[in-house]
Amino acid sequence: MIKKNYTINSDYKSVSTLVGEIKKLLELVGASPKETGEIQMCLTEALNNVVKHSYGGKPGNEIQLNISLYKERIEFEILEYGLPRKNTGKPKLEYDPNDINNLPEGGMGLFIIDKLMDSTEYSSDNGKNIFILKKNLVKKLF
Amino acid sequence: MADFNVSTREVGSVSIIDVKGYLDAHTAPDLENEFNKLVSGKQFKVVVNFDNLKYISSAGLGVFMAYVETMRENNGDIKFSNLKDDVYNIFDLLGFPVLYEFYKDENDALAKFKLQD
Repeated sequence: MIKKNYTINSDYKSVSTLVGEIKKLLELVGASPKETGEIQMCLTEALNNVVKHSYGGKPGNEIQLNISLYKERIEFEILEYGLPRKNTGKPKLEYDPNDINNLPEGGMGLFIIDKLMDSTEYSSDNGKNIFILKKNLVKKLF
Repeated sequence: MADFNVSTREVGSVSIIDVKGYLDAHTAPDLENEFNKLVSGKQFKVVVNFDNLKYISSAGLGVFMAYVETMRENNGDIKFSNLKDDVYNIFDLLGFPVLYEFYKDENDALAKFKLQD
């Protein structure tokens, strides 16, 4: 098992740079292009959610990402100290395609994560928020 | 990973937006600016060509959701063309094929606009 730890500033550019690094790491350890793309998508959504919602779009705050790479799965742990999520239920994306005036412009990130990851857990305790994402891999690593 | 470029071409009465690179929360405002320019110029018929787009996040998808209403209310539309499979899969996951028209080639999207004229 390999563990990697990263800390970034709470801004979109830092998220983008970090996710680019993770993509290279996944390619290096032999993850499939499909799974790499899905993980890239989910990490971008999860980390950008922290920037936008937990920290209100303000830079200068800390986001930690801990990665555990196993042969058959990957676990990501995102730690931050911003505002906790209000709704921690299973994400839904329901809209009426005929009601064009009420299409959602947001709220798609958690839905995407829920669809592409195998499991997620969110907890908040004493100002520390932790979001864990787990993905089982079809192609073994290393 | 943050490289993104957006530009617009005019073909008759249709504006073709070419997107290139990575469209995420960091770069989505560039696409939003492009749509704002089209709305200001009363250009409501739009084809977005994804041929050179490597990646799209929900922030990018949200831009299309934000402008499709304005375009359709003004007898226009946003149509999508030249999507790679992995990009299309994200649209599909979110139910976009019910809301938008997707074409393999931008000429097919242009032809559909002509039929609607």
